Amino acid sequence: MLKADNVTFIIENQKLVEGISLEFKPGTFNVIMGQNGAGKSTLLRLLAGSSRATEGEITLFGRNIKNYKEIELAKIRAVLSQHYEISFPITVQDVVMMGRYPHFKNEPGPVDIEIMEETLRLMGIENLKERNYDTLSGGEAQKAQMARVLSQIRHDGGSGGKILFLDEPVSQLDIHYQYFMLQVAKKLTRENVLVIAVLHDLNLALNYADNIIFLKKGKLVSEFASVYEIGSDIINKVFDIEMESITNPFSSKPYFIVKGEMTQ
Amino acid sequence: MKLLKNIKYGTIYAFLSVLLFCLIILSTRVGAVNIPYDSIIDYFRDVLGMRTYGEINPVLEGLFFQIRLPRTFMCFIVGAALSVSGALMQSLFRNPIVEPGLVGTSAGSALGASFMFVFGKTALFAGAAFLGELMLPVSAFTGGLIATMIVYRFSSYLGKVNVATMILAGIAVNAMAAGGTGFLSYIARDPQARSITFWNLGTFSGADWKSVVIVAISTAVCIFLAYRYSKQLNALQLGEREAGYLGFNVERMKIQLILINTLMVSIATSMVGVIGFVGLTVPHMLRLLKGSDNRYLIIGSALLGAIVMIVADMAARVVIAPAEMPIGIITAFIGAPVFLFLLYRNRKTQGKGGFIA
Repeated sequence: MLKADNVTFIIENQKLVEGISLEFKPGTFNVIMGQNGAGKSTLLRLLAGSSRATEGEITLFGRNIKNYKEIELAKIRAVLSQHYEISFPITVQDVVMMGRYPHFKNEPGPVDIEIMEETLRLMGIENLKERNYDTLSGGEAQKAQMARVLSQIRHDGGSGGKILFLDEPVSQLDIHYQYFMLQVAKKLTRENVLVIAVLHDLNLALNYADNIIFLKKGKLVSEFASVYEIGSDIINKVFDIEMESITNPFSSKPYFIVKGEMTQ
Repeated sequence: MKLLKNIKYGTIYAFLSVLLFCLIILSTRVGAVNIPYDSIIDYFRDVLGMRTYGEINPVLEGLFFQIRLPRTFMCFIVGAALSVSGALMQSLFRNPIVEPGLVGTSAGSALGASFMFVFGKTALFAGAAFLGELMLPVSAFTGGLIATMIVYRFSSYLGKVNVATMILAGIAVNAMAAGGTGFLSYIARDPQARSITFWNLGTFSGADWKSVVIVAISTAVCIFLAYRYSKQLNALQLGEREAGYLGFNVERMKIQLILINTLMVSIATSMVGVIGFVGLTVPHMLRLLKGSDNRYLIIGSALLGAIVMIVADMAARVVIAPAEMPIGIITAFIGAPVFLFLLYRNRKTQGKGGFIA
């Protein structure tokens, strides 16, 4: 449903993303990984239609993403970022209702309110509804933002798949929240939502991903059809750190541990 | 903490409207000469060709219709314009300390307006003479827009507004504009333009029906247009990129809002001078009462801004009667402490400072 064809992105004479071709299928959980500055977030923004590719093209449902209006895209895909700062007092439910903005004109309808309540329940924060967003903990705030992006792409009778982009969504959260957030995203793939996430924690990614895309210096290093095939050679190459894989006894997926000390 | 959490928006608007109406009546009454309410009713009956209850004093009737009433309406409209502008700018810059006085819009407009006062009748503007009465507002708008754009360009980088840079750029642009206005005041022949306090501290004493009509039309149109952006402004609080993800064209919206805002402020400023602090404090009072939804902030600011300005103008007329004070002194005396209180409260309750753009 979403396809990148030989995509390059250049800004200030720097190639942040170079010659990447990928294809994403509905109902899959895809993770983009790589070192800092490898072009992960840039690739995600290109795929989400927020930045324009310098060369190559990205197609969504067979149509070039450039030709979509912002509002059309907003009804198909939602993006959760790492961190949000809101300077003014606003309640949690008002934040979540923003996810419905692409769907109503002036006042939210009964469907919008229902979806807002539903996603609050889904994230387990219905008790925080009236709270000022500013007073939430980091984890609670990110749950509220997740509720917002979920309500943005919640089914409203429209047909066709939806896409959820997660741009380092759990980098500032504790382990409980990390797993909880990705669990929610994983559940969505069963409703045929395509999930594309940028993550830093390799083992966390292995736990949920159907497919991991490794980037290095803006280029695609490798893309695996199955996470079971990922070996330590590729990890060492992508992250410049020696890691060894063992088998996770619970999932029988690979699990990576750092081997000894780092040599400069 | 919100004081009126459980009160509906409609109730707040209704309450403010009633208060505003009462203050309009009161404001037309008080001044160097107090006009009794009975006479006010008689003046209206007289104008409508109805039988009056008492004797009409034509001097007082003239005072009422030609001075008091337009002045009160001018306060109403300018208060609304500046406050809505404060709400818009605070949301647009995602920053609670922005107001038209700070980012140079007011000072730039004053410079543009005074430029027209001094040179408007010279050959320099012979080509623009077809604009007639609109020459002054057009010139004010140009000045305000240039000043705002300079400050905005300096302070925003990669979609983020750097507050420190914005304040400093604002200081520089304000100083430059005030210097220019001061220079023009010295070489001016027009007695009104010659008064530097008029431009720096504002006054409603020159209000007449013609200027009221010009400001009323531009303000009404601008507030109507701004209101249509309230959803986008709400979304913008998440960040520019995030607002884009929610389906809004942020670049276009920013340009359009800056234009609307500058139009509103510059036309008001060209008629009454620079009046600070109203645009800053009014939206904060509303946030304190009931949240930051921009739909509420825009309507609420129009009403509460009008109220605040009418009260301030009454004070300006009464405090040292029969003389009159520039209104900017009153708004600074009321507005600056309110602002300090907001700072204090913010520091106490949030700890984060909240002034992060």
